[in-house]
Amino acid sequence: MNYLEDAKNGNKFSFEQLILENQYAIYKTARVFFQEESEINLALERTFFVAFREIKSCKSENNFLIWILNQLILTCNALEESKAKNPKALPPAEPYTSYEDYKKNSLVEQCISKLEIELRLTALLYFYIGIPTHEISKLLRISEHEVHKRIEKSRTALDNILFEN
Amino acid sequence: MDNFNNKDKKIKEKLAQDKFITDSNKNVINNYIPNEQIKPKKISQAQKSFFIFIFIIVLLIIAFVLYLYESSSDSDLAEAPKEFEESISLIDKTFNGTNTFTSNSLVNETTNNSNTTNTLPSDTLDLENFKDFLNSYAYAINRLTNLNNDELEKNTIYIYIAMKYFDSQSIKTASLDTTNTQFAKTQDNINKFIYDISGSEITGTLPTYVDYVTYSTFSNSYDYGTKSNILEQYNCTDVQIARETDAGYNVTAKITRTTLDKNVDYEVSINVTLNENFSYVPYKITSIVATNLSEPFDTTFHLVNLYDLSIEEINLAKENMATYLNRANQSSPIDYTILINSIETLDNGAYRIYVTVCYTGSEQEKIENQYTVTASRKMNNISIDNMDEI
Repeated sequence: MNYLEDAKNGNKFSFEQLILENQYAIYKTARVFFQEESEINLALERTFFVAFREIKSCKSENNFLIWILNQLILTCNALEESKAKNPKALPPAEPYTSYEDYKKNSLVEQCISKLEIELRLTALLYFYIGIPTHEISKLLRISEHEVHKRIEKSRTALDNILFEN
Repeated sequence: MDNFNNKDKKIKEKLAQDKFITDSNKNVINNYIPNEQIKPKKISQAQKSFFIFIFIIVLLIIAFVLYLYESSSDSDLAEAPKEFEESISLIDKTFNGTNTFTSNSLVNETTNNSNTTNTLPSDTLDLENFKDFLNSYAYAINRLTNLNNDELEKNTIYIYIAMKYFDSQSIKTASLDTTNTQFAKTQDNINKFIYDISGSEITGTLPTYVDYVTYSTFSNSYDYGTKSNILEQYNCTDVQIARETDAGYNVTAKITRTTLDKNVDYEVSINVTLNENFSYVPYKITSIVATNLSEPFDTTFHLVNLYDLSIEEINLAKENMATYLNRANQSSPIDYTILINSIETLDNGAYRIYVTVCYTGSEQEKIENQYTVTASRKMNNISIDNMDEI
C-alpha cells in the first residue's frame, strides 16, 4: 500500500501511518530544539499541519522522512525565533512528564545533551536517524565539510559517553 | 576509516535502542488527525513556483513578440509604406551639383526598386490620399522649381518632405510614436522616397541646410534641425482633378500655409503621374505651380535668402519690369502682375531675378510667361538691364 499517494489524495489515515513509521526520528529531532513537552507538541502539530497541506511536494515515500524533518526543522527554527522575540508566544509549560524524567528514560537524550549545542542536531541526524551526510548538509543548510567536522567531534564524544564509562 | 565505521556502527546500534517517547508527546503523534477542513493543496508550492515561472516566461515571450511586431511594423513603414499613399515628383528637378541628383528613366526606377516596391491597386488618382500627401509635399511650393538655383534648399526640402511623410505615417499607426520614425528616416529610405516623388536617384547623403535638416552618422538617419520648428505648416483643404493629361492628371488644390504670424491661401496647379511601382508613395509630381502667390514677394518661401534686396526694392523692381515690358510692347499699357520666383546674386553685385508675368490677353485669356531679369541697384532705384523670356 502506498501511503504517500493515498495521503496526497487526502487520506488522513495514510498520513498518520507515515508519521508513525517515522515517529522516533521526528520526536527526537523536536527534542533537540525544545525541552518543554508543550513546546514539542506545538512544534509537532504545526509540522504535521503544514506537512499534510503540502504533502504533494513530497516526491517519494523513501524521501518522506527527510522531507518531513525539513518541515520540522523549519518549524522549530520559526518557533525558536518567535520565542526569542516574545517568550509568551509559546504555550506555558504544563505538568507533563518533567524533562528530568524524560532524560532518565532516554539514552539518546542522555548522550545528546552532553554534546556541544551545535553538534547535537547533526549527531542525532547521523547517529540515531542514520541520514547520509549530504542530506544533513541540505537539511541544516551547512556545507558537507562542516557536517563531517561535527560528526567527527560527536563521534569522539559519544564514544566516550557510551563506551568508556 | 574502518575504525570510524566500527565506532559509528556501535554508536548507532546503542542509540537505536532508545524508543522512549513521553506519553504526552506520544499522544500527539499517535492521535494527530489533521483538521477535517485541511486538505492537501492541489498544487504544491514547488509546482506553484514553477507555474509562476512559466507564466513569467510566457509574459516575457509575449512582450518580446510584441516588440518584434512593433519593430516589424516600423520596418514596414520604412520598407513598404501604405499602398494608398501617393507620390509626387518633379520632372526636370535634376540637380546640377556634384553629388546630388541624377536623372533616371522610368524604366530604371522600376528596375531599381523592384525588390521593395509596391504596386498601385488602381490607376486612378485617389484624391483623399493625395490631399493628405499634399500636407507634406506643399513645402515644395516655389522651392523646387528650375528657377531656383539653390541646391541646398532643394535637398533640404526634399528630405524635409520625406521626414514629414514618415511622421504622418507614425501618427496614423497607433503603435508607433514619433520617435519610432527615426528608424525610418535613414539615408536609404529617404533616398527611396525622393526617388518615388521626383524620379531622381540619389546616392549617399545629401548636403542640406543644417539649421533645418541634419544627418547623424551615429544613428545613420536624418533629423530635424534647430530651425525646423519655425517652418510653416500646410493644410490642403480641397483637391480637384482639372483634367487628365497624357502622362497623368492636372490637379488643382487649395492649400493653406500657416506661419507664425499669418495664413496664406494658395491655389496650386499640379501635374501628377502615377507610378506603377513605388517604395512609399505612388505619385510623381511633374510640376507644382502656385497661381496666386501672395503679394508682396514672400521671402519666407526660401529657407535662406541668397540676396539682400528689401521688400521695397523688390516692389520697385517689379514696377520697373512692368514698365520695361510695356515699353517693349509699344502698345497700350497692359496691367502686368509680376510674381517673383527666385533671386540670385551675380558676381558683379547685380541680381538675376526669375519672374512669372501674368496678364489678361485680348480675348480675356490668362497668359503667363516666365522671364529672367538682370537687375542692379543704382542710387535709390533698381535698374532693369535685361529681361528675357525663358
